[in-house]
Amino acid sequence: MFSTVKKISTMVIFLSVQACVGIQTVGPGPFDVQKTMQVTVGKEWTKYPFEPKTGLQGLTIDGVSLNSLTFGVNIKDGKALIYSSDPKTLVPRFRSDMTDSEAVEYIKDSLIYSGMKNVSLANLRPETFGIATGVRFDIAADTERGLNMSGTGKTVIHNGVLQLILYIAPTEYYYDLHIEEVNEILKSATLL
Amino acid sequence: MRTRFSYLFSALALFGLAACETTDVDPIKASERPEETSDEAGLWLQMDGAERLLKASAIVERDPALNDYVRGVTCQVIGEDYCNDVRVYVVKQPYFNANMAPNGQMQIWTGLLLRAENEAQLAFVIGHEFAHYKQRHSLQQWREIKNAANASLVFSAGIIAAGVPDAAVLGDITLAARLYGFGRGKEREADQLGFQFATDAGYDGHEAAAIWKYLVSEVENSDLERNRRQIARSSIFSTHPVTSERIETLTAFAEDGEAGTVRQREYIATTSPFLAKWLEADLVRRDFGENIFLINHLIKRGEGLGLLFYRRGEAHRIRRGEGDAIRALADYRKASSFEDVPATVWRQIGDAERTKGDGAAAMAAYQTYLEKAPEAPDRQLVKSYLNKLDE
Ligand SMILES: [Zn+2]
Repeated sequence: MFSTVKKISTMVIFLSVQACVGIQTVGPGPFDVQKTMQVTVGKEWTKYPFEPKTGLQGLTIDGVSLNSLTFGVNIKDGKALIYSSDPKTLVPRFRSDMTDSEAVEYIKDSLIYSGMKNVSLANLRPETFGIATGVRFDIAADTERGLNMSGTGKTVIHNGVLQLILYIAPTEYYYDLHIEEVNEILKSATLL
Repeated sequence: MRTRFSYLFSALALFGLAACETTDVDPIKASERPEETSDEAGLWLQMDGAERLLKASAIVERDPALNDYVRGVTCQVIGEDYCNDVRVYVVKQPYFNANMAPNGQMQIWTGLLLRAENEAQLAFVIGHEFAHYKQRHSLQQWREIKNAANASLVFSAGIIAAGVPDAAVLGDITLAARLYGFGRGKEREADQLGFQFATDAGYDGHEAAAIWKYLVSEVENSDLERNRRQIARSSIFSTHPVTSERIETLTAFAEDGEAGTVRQREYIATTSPFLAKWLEADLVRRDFGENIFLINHLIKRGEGLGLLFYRRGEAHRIRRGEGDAIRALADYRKASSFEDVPATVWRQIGDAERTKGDGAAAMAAYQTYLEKAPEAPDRQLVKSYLNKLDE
């Protein structure tokens, strides 16, 4: 063993499977995320409990490792998308003065920090997000175990807080399975 | 081929209530494999499983040139006889680490390759890890844990080996070694033997202490107070030799020996194509103090300066400390005067100038970016900035 004092912290990451308590379904129809964001879903999705420590809310159809639609609402300055019990832990943190591409970089780095490998962004483009203009982006990545994943999402910084919707699914079969539904959901997003 | 029966049998041997076994074992010989029903075979079997996961994972760097090089250095250090017994994996993790499993699986993490300065330093790391293998330290450790008759400890070691998903991919030995450590005695032995292997292979003994000295100075610049404290004075309960003791011992070894090769040119030539990727991955750790210290250290080499000033600009930009915005822009400007600067520097200059309120400078930089990176993933976004600035 040839290592230093540094340790890889074990952390609860936002794509991880949460305990199977309080699981409900949403849709088809409008879905409010913490009275901050509203989207319209066309199918029935399973809703995981809201995670107050990270501000993240997850939906899935076939299971979180097969398709995960994550909403991040009102992410404030200094907040991390990765939960750590120690507030001093060094992790990517949101800063309210970020440019929109820095917001996407923050999301990307959080994914890498949480263990995704070979993460790359594509097609960054301006897209309306409620009353503001946000950024739409596509993602390609691998899980540590080597599964190819695809993703798409959008984010906006409005009034100093960050809002985020991120869809991730295995590239093979599952990403395409619900991508039309996800595109419609992303288009429908409004800020309340 | 192993049968299901023998698997079960090994597992039983592993978990069975064996009487106090000797922890005194002979070094493993070249091509030697453990007895099929031994506890050692059980350890190997578990590590074989972990290695299969690792092989299929996305965390292994598969670049043939880099792997050939690391493999070459390994065979040089451990000798041709053992070369077929050890498999080296370059693992994409930004931390300074290397480890060795009992079955011959060696991991060298990219965070270590990023920090080693030359081939001799890498050779010492390989020598140290190989010493753990040759001396069967994992087996000794396993028996020590079992002999401690602490059932829960043995059980949890089994759980670890069975694998939490991510830890399993990295190789469970990492986690197990972190929890139990190989212990000071074994680490000292590995340092001593590793030194011998590397110097016998012709490498300069002074480099053994040098890699540790560099590491101490980097960690002293960590943003995390806990890290700075730990590196300064490791606790007496620490399972690893105190870093300063390690440096002293390795320095003393080198004083008695003769000078050898360092092979810095070969090392830099092989690793420099990965510098951009590795430095970017290092910044994801968000230890700006260490990242900037490392970049400044690399700048002293006097090459790859476009990339290095760019990366320092990135660290300053993301850190957002007092004066960092100005430092970042200055770094980007400096970087842009070198041939090897990434095209994204122009996009960052554009953003910095736009934030400052210099629309003309921002537009010029964005236009240069689009010319130099016509396929950039953020092309449409940058075009929208240009349109807004044009209004
Ligand atoms: Zn060691």
